[in-house]
Amino acid sequence: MVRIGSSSLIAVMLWFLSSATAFAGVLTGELDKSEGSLEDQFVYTLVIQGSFDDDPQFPVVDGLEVHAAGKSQNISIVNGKYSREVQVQFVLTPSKAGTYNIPPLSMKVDGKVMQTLPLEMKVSATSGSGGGSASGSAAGPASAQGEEGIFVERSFSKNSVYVGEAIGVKIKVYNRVKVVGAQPDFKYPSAFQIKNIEGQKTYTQMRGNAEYNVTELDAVLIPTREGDFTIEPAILVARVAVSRRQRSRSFFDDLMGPTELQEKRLRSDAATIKVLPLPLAGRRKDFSGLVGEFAMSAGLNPQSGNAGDTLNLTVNIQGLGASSGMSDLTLPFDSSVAKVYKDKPETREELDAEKGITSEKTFKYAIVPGKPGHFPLGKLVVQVFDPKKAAYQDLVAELGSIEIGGQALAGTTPVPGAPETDSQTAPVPPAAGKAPTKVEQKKVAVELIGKDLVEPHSQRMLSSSDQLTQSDWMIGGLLLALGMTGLGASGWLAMTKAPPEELLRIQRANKAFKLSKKQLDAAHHCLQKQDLAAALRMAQGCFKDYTGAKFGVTGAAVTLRDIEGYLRSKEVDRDTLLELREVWSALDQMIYAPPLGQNPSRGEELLMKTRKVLEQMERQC
Amino acid sequence: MLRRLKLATCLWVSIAANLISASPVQAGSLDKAQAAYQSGQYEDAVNQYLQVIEASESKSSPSPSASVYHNLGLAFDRQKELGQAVASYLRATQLQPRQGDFQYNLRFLLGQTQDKLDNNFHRPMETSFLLDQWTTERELFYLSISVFLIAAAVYSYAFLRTRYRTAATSVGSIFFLLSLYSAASLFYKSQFVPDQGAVIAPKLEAYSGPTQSVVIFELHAGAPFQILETSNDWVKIELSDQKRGWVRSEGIASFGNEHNILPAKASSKS
Repeated sequence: MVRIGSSSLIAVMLWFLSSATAFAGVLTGELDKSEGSLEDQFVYTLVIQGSFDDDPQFPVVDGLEVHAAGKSQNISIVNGKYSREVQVQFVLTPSKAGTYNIPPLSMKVDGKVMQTLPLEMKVSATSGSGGGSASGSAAGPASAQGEEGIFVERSFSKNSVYVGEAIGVKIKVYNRVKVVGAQPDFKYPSAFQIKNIEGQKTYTQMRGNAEYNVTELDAVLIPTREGDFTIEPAILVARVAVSRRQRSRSFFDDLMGPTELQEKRLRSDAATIKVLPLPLAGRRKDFSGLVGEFAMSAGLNPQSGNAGDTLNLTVNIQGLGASSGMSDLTLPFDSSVAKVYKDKPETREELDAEKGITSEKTFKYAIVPGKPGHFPLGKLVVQVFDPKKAAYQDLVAELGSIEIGGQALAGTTPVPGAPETDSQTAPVPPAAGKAPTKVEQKKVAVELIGKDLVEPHSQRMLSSSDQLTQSDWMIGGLLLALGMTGLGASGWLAMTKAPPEELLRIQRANKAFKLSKKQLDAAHHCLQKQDLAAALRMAQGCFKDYTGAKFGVTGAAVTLRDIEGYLRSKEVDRDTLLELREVWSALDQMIYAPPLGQNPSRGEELLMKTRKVLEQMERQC
Repeated sequence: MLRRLKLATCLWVSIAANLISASPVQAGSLDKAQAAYQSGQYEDAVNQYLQVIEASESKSSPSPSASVYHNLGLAFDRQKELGQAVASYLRATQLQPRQGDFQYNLRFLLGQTQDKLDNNFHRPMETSFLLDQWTTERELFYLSISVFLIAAAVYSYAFLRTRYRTAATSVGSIFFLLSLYSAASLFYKSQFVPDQGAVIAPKLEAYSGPTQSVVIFELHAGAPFQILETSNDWVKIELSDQKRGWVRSEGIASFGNEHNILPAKASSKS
């Protein structure tokens, strides 16, 4: 019995121990797959059973991009025991092929520090790792491409360029599977200006023994500063339809169809572009900023005219290279020959992944000569940098000369050898034979105003301030508050402390018409009771009471003249006054000299007229 | 009633005048600067004045008056630092646009520059009617508050007296709009008026962009400009003829609200 009792005790103790172990914290980590390619994303799932305070942090692994993908929680109570399981998922995106060792993740679960087991992950090179060479020669696709059915290739037209020289970029997506959707992620260093070529080319192409559909996304890059730049792989996240495996074929697979959607992260190779600085040797200060192969032409139309006429000069620069950043032209003739008005230059650019940029820039000038004569305009020289020759070159355009007749405009000096002009209208040159320029005029003005500067200000002026200080803001705020308070207080006073008799008068004036209408209704009532005289008196009383209430007239009896007087002061129109007089007289006549026998219809008519006149009065008062 | 109004106006004018002439600023440094200038030690005077300006930049003391920039400009001029002197006077005229001494000295100095540019910088058409071109910030501030108080008083009269109520409300509305107008001028002056500066290098090239791409034009010491934007060590400037370009900040000086580019020589000493 004792033996049975002791073994039972041991069993109970063991059960408690085992149950305690079962509810202790657990931390496990697992990968969805241990091997894959650069196109794949790996999912690391961390399972935490028990309570924990801090969210788990994924360790830094070189070459692995980590994104938290979400957290799910499962809480269960079994036999009164509470348990909690949290799953945290991380998406791992490898950036290079190789073996990655994920170190143990450690965290405090149920008060104990626990850690997962280290995991290993093998990443092979991208199955579609062809292309991407900066030399421009597209490498053939690897054998894996055929298996995967989709890959990305990128090529650059040049891998060594000068600052400002355009580079064509071709990104080709080869596929022979169904692509449901794709999200490109093409990143370039900030030192490059990117011009995407609109529209995409699609065609078919044989690679190896397979025919692929090719989608080409082209762009042009323009480097803005020198240096060696590594261009990250072009990444395309594509959703493709792939055949289901036979072993997983089931009733539901038949319903869903023979294919399933998979997300592929495709990437091209990285590339390096060397950007060279524009050489200092041979670069003039008037360098135009153009880098490429350009040609220039210029035309002047017309080439002769009178002083004050407009001659149009058009300069056209076109060629291979970007011209949007080109500086303004410096015309070879000075402003004493003619006034020059510049139009906004027009720029046209065409992008091509093979050639880069073909551009054309047109400058237009209106030249207005101010004096007669023969003026050679000289040569227009624009310095450009030719990257093929690695040297600066001058684009030269001969502008020719202009023949100007007529009379010199006011404010211009005659040119030696110019045709004779009317001395009455031509400006008189100064004694020195040369008119003072604007600069000289300003100098003269400066000399006139004094010989030295005004002396320093005193200490008192130095210690004042012209800008706002904190005390200014405080005082200003105080004054504003004072003003607002005063405004509010006066408004409140106006609302609440108005004199009672004034308030009463206003109230009476507002209710005057309402009361008169009530009185008219009472008159109607009297009329119905065959009491015509009372009804008419009440109707006449309506006018008196209305005027009394409206204009605050109290005491003595109100006559027609009084009423007219008040209404005139309120600028009531003449027709209303005439109607009032007519109704009043009719009422008088009916009250004091009634016709023989009762005439209710006439009484009704007068009451209606009274109402109408009252309404007109109310509208105008 | 009229007597009370007169009394209140006198009181308010005296308080406002007292406030405007108050605020002592770094009296010690200013005393030293004045003494150094009087004894012909212009470099010391410059450094003392710059100390006052730098102290105000770090918010440890109130902003210096326009007269401080006037005296600083004089000290720079005595040292033959034309660009720094022009920059000082540009700031002085911005702070006190009506002061004749500043305008005279600035014109005098600009006449000595090689580029002969003036300081009539372009401003947007819609801001041309604002008062900030002729008044200081404090004047605008107290003007807007005064006009607002008058508007409040007139409105209060309209509330309390039924006689002339319509006329009083109209007059009050006019004063209220005037206070808004002066407040808008103050806001523009304090927030949107670009800082001005001058070239201190003997010769300075202006480029089309902040990467030394293409030289657009050249400036010489003392050429005035207004600052449009900055990017690292580069400053985008606009001249009075609306030419725009990027210049290196080491070749310019500017005393402003936002861009305080002090002259390198004096600031390094201090």
